Amino acid sequence: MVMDLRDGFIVLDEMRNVTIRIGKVIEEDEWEPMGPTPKPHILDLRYWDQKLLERYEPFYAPMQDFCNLCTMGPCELSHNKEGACGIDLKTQKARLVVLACLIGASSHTAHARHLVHYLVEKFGRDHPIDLGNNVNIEAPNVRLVFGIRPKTIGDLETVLDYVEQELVRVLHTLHTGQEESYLDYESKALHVGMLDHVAMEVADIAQVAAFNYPKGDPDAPLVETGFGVLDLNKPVILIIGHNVLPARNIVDYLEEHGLENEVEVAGLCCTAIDTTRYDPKAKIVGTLSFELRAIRSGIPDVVVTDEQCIRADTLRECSKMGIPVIATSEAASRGLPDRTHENPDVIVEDLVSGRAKGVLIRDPDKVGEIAVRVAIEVRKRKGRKEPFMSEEELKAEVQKCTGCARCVFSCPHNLRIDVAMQHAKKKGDFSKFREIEPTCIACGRCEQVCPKGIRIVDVIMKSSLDQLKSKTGKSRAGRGPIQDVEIRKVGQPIVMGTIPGVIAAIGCPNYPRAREELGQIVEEFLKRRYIVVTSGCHAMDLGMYTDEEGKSLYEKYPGSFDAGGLVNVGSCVANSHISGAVIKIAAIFAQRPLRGNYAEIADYILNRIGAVGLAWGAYSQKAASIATGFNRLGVPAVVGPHSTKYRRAYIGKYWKKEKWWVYDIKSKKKIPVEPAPDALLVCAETKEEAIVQLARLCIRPADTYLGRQIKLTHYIELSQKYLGCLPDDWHLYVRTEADLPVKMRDQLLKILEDEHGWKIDWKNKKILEGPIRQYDAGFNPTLVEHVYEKYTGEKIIR
Amino acid sequence: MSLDKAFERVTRIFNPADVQVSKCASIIKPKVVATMIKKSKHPVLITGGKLLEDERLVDFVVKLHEKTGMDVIATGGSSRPLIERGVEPVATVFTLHYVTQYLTDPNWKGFDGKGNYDLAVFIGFTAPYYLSRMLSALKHFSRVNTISICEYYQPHAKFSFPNLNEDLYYEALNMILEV
Ligand code: SF4
Ligand code: SF4
Ligand code: SF4
Repeated sequence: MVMDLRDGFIVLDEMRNVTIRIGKVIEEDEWEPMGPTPKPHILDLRYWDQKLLERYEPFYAPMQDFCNLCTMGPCELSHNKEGACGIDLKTQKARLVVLACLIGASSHTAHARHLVHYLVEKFGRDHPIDLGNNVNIEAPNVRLVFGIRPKTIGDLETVLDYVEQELVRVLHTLHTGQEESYLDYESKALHVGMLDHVAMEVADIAQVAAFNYPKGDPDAPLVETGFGVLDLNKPVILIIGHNVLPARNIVDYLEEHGLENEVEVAGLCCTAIDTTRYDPKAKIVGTLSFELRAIRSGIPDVVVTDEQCIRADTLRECSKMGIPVIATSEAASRGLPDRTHENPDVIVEDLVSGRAKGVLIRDPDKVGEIAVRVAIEVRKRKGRKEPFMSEEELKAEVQKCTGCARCVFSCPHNLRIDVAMQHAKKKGDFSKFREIEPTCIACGRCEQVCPKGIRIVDVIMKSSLDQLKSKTGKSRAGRGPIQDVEIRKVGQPIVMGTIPGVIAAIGCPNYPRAREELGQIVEEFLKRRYIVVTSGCHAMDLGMYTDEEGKSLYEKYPGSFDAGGLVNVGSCVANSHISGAVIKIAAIFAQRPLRGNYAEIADYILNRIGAVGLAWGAYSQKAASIATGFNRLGVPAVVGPHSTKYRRAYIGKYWKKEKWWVYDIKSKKKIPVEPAPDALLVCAETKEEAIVQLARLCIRPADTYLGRQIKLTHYIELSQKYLGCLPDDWHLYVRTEADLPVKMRDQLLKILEDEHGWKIDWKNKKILEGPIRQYDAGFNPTLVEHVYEKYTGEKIIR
Repeated sequence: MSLDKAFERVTRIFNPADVQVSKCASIIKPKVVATMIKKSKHPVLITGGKLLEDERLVDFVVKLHEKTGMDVIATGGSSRPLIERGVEPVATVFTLHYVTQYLTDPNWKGFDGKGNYDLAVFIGFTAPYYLSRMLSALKHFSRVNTISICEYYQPHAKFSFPNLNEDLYYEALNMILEV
């Protein structure tokens, strides 16, 4: 008998008291044969991690040299000593890295779970995942890791079940008395990073499918971005965080009540991005570093918080400004009373009158009414105050400064507030604050230590008010996935190298210097016709980077995934579309099977796809796990100097020749290769250095000679422009004279002969001897034994 | 304050939370910096991105290089102003992160092929927190002696200048050259 199984339960009449429950059944047609590692557990891809870690040796820069995680400690671990449990400093640091990645991945997973749970309730399990006609590979990460093609929102629940189980299993390994090799912890960090991309993908495709966001649309609308874009004649609702549900309800409420032109909806952080994907009339105020700026300005009439990257003093700060707060997330309930089920009239009156500083409303569908009514009422009753402080207050504040410099030593950027204060105090000149402002992340640490209680942030911002207001521009609303047709077009030029690279500018705003530097880095690559993709805070800051005519990069470069395109995929969780795009190149261009086939695809990407991440201001645990997920997939990242505080990098050593080899499927030999890329995670100090590193890390062993020539041309040009010379290692990437930039060919051949001892046939301008290996057009590299065996039909004797 | 006093005073860490339980850097006077460079068998000077915006630092590095013949590893883009002034760094493209990774490997032959360095002197980094992390790595995982002659006290170096105000800082650098 064939039973048609559905969710639910069946009771067999003859067997009293026996109930057989049938869990979720996902009907899978045989779309692709299952690969070797569907739903991988912790150890299933360890062999791939070991390949990576062998080359890209973990580098540790301890923040502390002690551990106090259990009561046998605290243990002093300096100089790699062992603690009472036997763990050494390196392994302990690796353990902490895993923890950071777990926090990051759990944030995305919980966010995804919340969204999926909500959508299942609203739209039902069978709601289709339809990302538009041009997106057939709807969930490349899910296909690759989990091994299904999700068709409905309900299918995503099963994927999250798996991710959650794995995260708990990894968390278990962090208990005292587990791993003793840092390499094993690193493998777990990589595992968590991979899971993170799956969870992010679930979150984003669920919201794209359910809320009708742009579906891979290169012409997604332009949205107003910047501190100065708000219409201050209207009540302002400021939404902060990462989960769109409450914001969506606010937008819906306004529309249902014909109020959409009466109230400003403005967002900070990724909620801003996702709100504008839902409703392009909403506005983006800025990134995490604009939170205190926005609250202290007094501009918002009500602040709504959801989850992640929201300051932990939001209620205190808002209360000082008389701004009511509506918390909406279990992750950040701010000590507020849960009033989800109370009469909205009472809640509104309590918030407007100031009887309640804030409330917790757990049901996102009840937030809209309260937020809108409170904003309108607050505005009516309170009117507008001068932003930050009055001119008199400003002068009085700087007079208090004694120049003790405590603020300088507390500032994460050691900004010379003391100098700016003294300058203003003695000369009445506030210009030094305006110099500080673009670098100030408005963290407020300086105020915590100032013995005179000076409102330093307000002083900086008030002095820079015009500058702040002029920070306006346009971002392109997050478009979500990259279309399959786009991949079909650019897959080949990317793999050949004739599109020199994909630069993914992603992550947070903890930049080393002024925000503008990000725009300068990105523009260099857009002009050179790299593909630039972006998301999250970087995507917003690019919207505020404008030219003399006030045009942002989004207005000057197309939104297509193509040479010279600037693609905003969306919020943090939309980063999965960037990993998804590189996975799709392997699937669509190279026809590699995805299903449960992680190592083969990551190996393909590492050897062939010149994609590099740029996280110029990464600060969060989410950024740690996102980057680590990219790394497991074979995508390197360049990070800003603050990211060295993550404690770990993956940096290979080009001079260890024995580490740089591949199996060549064509010649059936194990052969040495050029060290490309030679790092998976590395920090640059300055924008100049970052630009050169990005170009450098786009080089891949499988580049064709034409592709290598183009990549080397950019690398050498950028090095000459920013470092003042040829890069030290350019010769390592030369396999044949055809790899050399055409205009410099003779000059470079001469250097190869004179300085590196290569043999040159000058008559034919050919390299006779010298390169690490010969160029071979059919070169087909892999690091993975089973991939080699699959495509050659030969066994490797291990 | 005189330079001598500045070197005797208790100095603060550039970020009071950047603490470790192992020994903090000893304050080093300019003269001793010069002597240590002289006595070391294989020293190297590592420069950072601040040279892009501070001509006086470039001046100092040029002179120190001329005087001691010490190799320069230029990071952060600092090679450009140095090359313009006739210094040829032994490495320009590897970031401080790479260089530190190499330094922690006892098998590294250095950029000159003569073996790993026994003394690394750091100057001109725009971000003290970045240098701090690298010095921490070298403290725990290498045998390289480290001296920071940056403007902020660097707790995880073996030896460091104290925090110095602008004038005293350049005075201190000059004193290294005078020895
Ligand atoms: S976990 Fe190990 S190193 Fe940490 S405090 Fe406990 S015994 Fe010491
Ligand atoms: S608020 Fe600005 S000036 Fe103050 S400590 Fe933070 S970054 Fe430095
Ligand atoms: S801590 Fe306060 S008093 Fe001291 S320099 Fe900074 S602003 Fe002035």
